[in-house]
Amino acid sequence: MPSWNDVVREHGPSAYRTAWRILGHAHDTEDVLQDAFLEAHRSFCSGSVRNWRAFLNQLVTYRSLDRLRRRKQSIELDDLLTCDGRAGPYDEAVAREAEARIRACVAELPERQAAVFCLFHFEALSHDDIAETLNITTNAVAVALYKSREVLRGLVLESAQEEKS
Amino acid sequence: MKPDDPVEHSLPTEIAAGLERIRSRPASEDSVQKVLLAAQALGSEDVSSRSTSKPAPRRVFAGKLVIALTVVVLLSVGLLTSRSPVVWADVVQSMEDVPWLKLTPTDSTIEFTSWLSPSRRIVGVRHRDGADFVDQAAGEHVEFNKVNGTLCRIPVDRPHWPALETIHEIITAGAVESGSIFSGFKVVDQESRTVEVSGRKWIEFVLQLRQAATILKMTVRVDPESQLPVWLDIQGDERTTRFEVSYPDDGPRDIYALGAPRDLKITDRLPSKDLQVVLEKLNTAFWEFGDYAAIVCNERGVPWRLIRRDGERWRFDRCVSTDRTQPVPEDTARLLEVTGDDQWWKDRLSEFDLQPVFVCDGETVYRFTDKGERVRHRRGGGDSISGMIETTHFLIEWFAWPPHKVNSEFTHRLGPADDDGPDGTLLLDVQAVVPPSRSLRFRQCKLWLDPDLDYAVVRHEMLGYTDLKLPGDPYGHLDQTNQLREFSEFRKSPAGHSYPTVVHWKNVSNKDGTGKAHDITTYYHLDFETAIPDSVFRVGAQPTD
Repeated sequence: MPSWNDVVREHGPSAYRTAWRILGHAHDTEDVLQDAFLEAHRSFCSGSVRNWRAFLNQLVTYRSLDRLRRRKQSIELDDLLTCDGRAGPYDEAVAREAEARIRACVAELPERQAAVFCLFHFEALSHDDIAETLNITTNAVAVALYKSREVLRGLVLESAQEEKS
Repeated sequence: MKPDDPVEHSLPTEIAAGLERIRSRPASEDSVQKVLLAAQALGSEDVSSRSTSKPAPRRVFAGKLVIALTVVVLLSVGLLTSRSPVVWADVVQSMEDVPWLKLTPTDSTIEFTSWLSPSRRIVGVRHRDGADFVDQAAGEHVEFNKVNGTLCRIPVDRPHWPALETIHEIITAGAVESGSIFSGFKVVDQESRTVEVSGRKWIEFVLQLRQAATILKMTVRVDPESQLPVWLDIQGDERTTRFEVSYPDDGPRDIYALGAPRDLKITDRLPSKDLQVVLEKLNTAFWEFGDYAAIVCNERGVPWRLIRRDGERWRFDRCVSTDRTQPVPEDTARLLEVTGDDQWWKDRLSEFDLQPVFVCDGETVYRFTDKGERVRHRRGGGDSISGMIETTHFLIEWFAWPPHKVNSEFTHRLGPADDDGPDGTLLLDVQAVVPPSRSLRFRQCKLWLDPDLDYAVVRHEMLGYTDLKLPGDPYGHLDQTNQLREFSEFRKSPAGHSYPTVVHWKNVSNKDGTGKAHDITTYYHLDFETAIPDSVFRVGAQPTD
């Protein structure tokens, strides 16, 4: 059985990355990770977890989506500080706006669809890995992925039209 | 863009570019380290002093930490719970530490013995029809079929190890159908209890396993000292089977150790890369196809059919004219002229009564008789409800994308189509290699795939089809041993998967007793936009079995 430090060391960075990609906001990511690790540590003490990668991934994904739904959509200063520097300020702002729009749309998706969408498109997990992470069948993954894309496509287009008008 | 995801190409450019940026945007290393340090502090025995010397990034975090530690301490001394001193995770851990587990049924009439090596990720099963040796790490499954005298190497469909459910899956799959090792059963509930038998205490864990609508109850009696199971009970719908668990030092190292003759050559059925690509498409497109309502009719205009699908739920209705004196609406002659005119069909739908033929609520398929009586037709099983070939194979997406997996009873040959196939197509020829005495759904299946349609099936021939006694045959002409269908007028679903709108059923036998065969053409009008209410897929009270 791995030690708690092993769990954190081995799976912590990818858990952070998952939350970061869903939230795109450093402070929110830290908050979500703190809550998630508290819950994970309780599970560690009860010895009820066999697959830490899947467990943490599921926990962090759902917690991040909860946070995403609750928070006010905005771009904050600390996000801009992590700019990769490859684009100019205008391009960077436009790109961030597009990202924010995607995240806002993801926040509108039903929970399972949102989780499947994020794990597939943000984390590049396979259908099998997503099924294992969320404890659902691969067929359910395929169905959720299809539905999430449809909803997302509609929401983004709708959002773009609203901006134009 | 994800290189292996053609579907991402179908998303609007703006979304695809945004996703790429989200994936590639780096996180702050300082922030990552801050979080990891705080998380590691949870494992420290002196967390409070660490929190003082190195404050956690959020005050609320420290507060929660104290509460969490208090709960953990109380749990550890048993103040908050009366559960048994051995938890299921201890049992799992104990089993993973032994070299081999051997499961033997107490009922000697059941031929099913299995060996498991958690550390080597190996499963060996000896059963009535032969044996299976699964090396999860190598992704290989060697199957010995005593009846057919065959030894085949086939793919491992899905890696489940080291999930404890695998043990359950092996036992239950073996008890229900020999050779079916990984069957997708999941633990949906568990509880533990302490029992005393003849002055000795035991721990019992009761697990509920579920696969679609199939629920199995598993009881495991554990020795509290060794924390290892001594027996397992599997309770299905009709019977309970007990397996004794022993822990030998050694177990089977290959299929021959499980009884396969050493002079029997292993036939390699692992699919080629090209075949893998095709199978991947067939196995995913059906599920990604999308939700729709489809009006189906033949060239005579009646009878019409209405099909609706929403994920794993679907429904098939027969449309009966409300005007019994006019069984054929006057303007159905327009059918051939208006193919594709969806609105015309929507308008005419009100002229018909809908009589359900099949309704699948996502777990169970219900069949309705001509008198409207509801009968439970098939519960979910196998990979999913799509395993019910005789009830899903009238969905139009099944024609184009029939889910298909490699097994040892068929050979799969993929190559250019022969002369009788449509130009430019590939032929996937699936042929049974087991004796005719072995009951199979079909003996040969030929799928002509069109590369221009992303390998959708454009022609489908089934030879030796045996599922002929389909009650409620939805089209009324599926009871043929040999079936040939050709598909044309393809369109694309919103998810980008091609589907035919015209199906030609060739040489359909006549049901009027004349024995004459003729061709039938059916037309499909799919509507992907109209929302389908949930009530469509509900069947109400308990059906008759």
